Amino acid sequence: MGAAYESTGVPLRDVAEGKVARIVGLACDPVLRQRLASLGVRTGTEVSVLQRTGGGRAVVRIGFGHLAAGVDVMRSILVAVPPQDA
Amino acid sequence: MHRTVALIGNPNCGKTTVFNLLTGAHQSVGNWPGVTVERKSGSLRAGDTEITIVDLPGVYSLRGGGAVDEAIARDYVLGGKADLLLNIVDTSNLERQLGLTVEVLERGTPTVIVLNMMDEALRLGRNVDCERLSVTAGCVALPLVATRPGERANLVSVLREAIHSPVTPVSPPYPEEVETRVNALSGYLTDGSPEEKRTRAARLIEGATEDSQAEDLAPIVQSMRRTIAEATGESAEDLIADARFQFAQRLVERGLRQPGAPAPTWSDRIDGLVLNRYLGVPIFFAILYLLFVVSFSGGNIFLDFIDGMSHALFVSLPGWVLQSLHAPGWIVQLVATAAGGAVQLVLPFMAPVGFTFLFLTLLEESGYMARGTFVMERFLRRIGLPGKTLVPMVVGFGCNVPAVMAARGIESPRDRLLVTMMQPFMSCSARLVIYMAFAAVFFRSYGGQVVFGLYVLGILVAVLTALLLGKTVLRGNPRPFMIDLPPYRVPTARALAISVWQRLRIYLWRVGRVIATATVVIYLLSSFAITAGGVRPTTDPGASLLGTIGKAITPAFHPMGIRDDNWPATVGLLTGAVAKEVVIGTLNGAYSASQAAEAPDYVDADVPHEMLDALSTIPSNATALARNLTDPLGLGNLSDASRAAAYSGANESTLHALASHFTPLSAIAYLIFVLLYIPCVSTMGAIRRETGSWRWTAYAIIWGIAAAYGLATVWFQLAHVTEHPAATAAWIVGIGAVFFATVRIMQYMGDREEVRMQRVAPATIRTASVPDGRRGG
Repeated sequence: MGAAYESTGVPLRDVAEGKVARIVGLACDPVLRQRLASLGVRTGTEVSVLQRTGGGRAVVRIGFGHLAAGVDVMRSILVAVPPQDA
Repeated sequence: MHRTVALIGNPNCGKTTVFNLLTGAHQSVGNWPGVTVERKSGSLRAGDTEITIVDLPGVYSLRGGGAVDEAIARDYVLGGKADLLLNIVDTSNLERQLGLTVEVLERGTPTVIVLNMMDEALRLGRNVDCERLSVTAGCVALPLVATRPGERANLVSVLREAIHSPVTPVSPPYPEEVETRVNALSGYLTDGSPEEKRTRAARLIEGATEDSQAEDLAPIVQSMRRTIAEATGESAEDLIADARFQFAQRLVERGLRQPGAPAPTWSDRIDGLVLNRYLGVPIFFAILYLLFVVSFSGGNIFLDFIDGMSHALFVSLPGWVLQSLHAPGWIVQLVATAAGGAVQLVLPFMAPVGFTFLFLTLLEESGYMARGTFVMERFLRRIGLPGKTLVPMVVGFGCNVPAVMAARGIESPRDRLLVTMMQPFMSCSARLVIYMAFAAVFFRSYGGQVVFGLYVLGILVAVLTALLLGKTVLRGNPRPFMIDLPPYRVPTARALAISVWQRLRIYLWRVGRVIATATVVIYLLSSFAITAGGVRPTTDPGASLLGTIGKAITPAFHPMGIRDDNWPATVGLLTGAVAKEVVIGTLNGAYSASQAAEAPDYVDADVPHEMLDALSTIPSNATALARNLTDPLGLGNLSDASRAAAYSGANESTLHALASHFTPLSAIAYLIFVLLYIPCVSTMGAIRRETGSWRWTAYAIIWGIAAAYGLATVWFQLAHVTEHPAATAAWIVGIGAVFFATVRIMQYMGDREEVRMQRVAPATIRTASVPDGRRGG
């Protein structure tokens, strides 16, 4: 988990299952950003997609917690992946 | 000496388990003032100190701007109502949980950090240095496994000591631009220690409005917020939130001896199946079907037993005692037949409702409910409905009251309102009994299809109601969906029992009270008539007050096929508006003049024999459970007229009366009306409580009656179009016009609400009362 990350952000929706990525931004309104932050989703946090469940949704791991995210949330979370894993 | 301790923590941190550990059976459940969020409180005695324990709603942050329960927790903590805060933390996920801890520590209220679920943390390789964490946080950090009763004594001891310990508020260091303004603003604040003023200043700059000086300092605060944003390129609240997060991370780093590493767990393996894109939906429907079966069939095992026992203890026994004492006949009838009968009407429903609560609690406590919601969210979102719609709908097939209450779990007020308004159209078990009576007479070979069609019609009207509201008065989109997935856990029997009993107690007190009162009132209205000499007792249902009212309003039901001589059917609808359980009994009395002449006699009541008979129903109903697994609604009874009649409770004369006063087509119209109009007073009461609004309750009543009358009339008129085409056309055009006018009015109201929202100031941290779907989240 100490790999260097590229700074370009892609939606978490486009990251493959099992890849660890770092959150570089949240493309959403302040209300949603606040909700996400309260669930541990904030810039700098490492996140990985555990399981895709169809329709652009997924279960993601953030630290020791699991979050079920709808398609809007998966689009809003911008991440960077290690270059060798991109 | 009396003290108050409040439990605060994230959802799914085991707060309720800690609450149950502390309070045991000494709990009470009510509502927080002005809202329908449950308030649980309990008590315990520690030495000479009487301690009230308050269980605050689970929240992720005190920042606000979210659901009502966040505002409740925030207001309670910020209002200083607790002498001690027990911050319950899921130790296996400290990184997320300690964010709230920092906010709590900033308050300066004596706090104990309860590191719950230590066993799970250790299994993940996470080892916490409680002493180091205590030093950094400035308060006691107590490891705990709340499911172990033996840990209670230590918890109480720590709690009692902490209540009396002085505390200094902990405040994270802020970025320089924020720190400068916080210090400056502190100088304007009166009251409180320097640390408390710093905390207050930070909250003001963050945008909070609950401070007593918020209004006076608003111009200064706004200027400071603007300056911070211009200097840093970020909002003040984001910078302060980040500072708290960084401080929380420091607490974690200091507190963890071994950080552990996330690894696949058996919860992950189960989710691989349960959340699979192909298997998830079938699994969800299988579990819903199981809920259905458990509610109906499981409850039916004890329904006859409770019914028989209730009759023995509350009807036969008091009737026999009073008649033995030669009490006047009217007292015997009032106490035994009316009041006792009312209790007998309510108590049996404890069985199916209790099983429903049990299964629902199991789904919630095990962690599956969150998964099921996620699975269905994808499809419901496409039609504009929130993901948590389905479970209340299924619960509604048993009883609409717990279904309305089940909507509480929906976070968004707009979505919660939508789902609540759908519930009255879900065909409950009490309505099924009425369908059975008509099926016995008119639909023997295709009764199942008719009843299934009614259920489908109810679902369609429910969904259309939600869609209509969602496009008009309650415009907005379902919130972007995200939900925390707790690990699967096996709930303890104790936790299940406490939760089920609390819900059942509320149900019995609120619903039971209404039905019991209504039954007594109906009995009185059907036992007295207005005569030239005033109000006099009568045994002629046609002459009674109820009969008189029924005859007066029956002409309004001509368009849906009820003739003047069929006034008992109208009376059935009147009493059915109070409770569907009383309809068949009302029809039995209203259609049978000869039966009405005889009041029940309890002289020969054999209470012990009745009780033994009631007891004997348990094994026979239990053996029928296996058969009912594939037919929980008992639709198989419809193929046999005598079984259907017995199931419905309608007597011979009622069945003959139905055959002579209805036709198959008018019977269907009547059943459509029964399906869609007011389910019962208890459901309306539940809607009133859950919405907190008489306006929405009135809407539910009026919309239900209008939908029932409109659809029943359209059906009957179309069925007889060849007999009177002009009248049919007039009715259909008229009903269509009323419907479209209603939609236009609702659109207008929605437009007005949107304009009003655009004029409202930007959202502050204090929760607004409008449906938050409009905030574009």
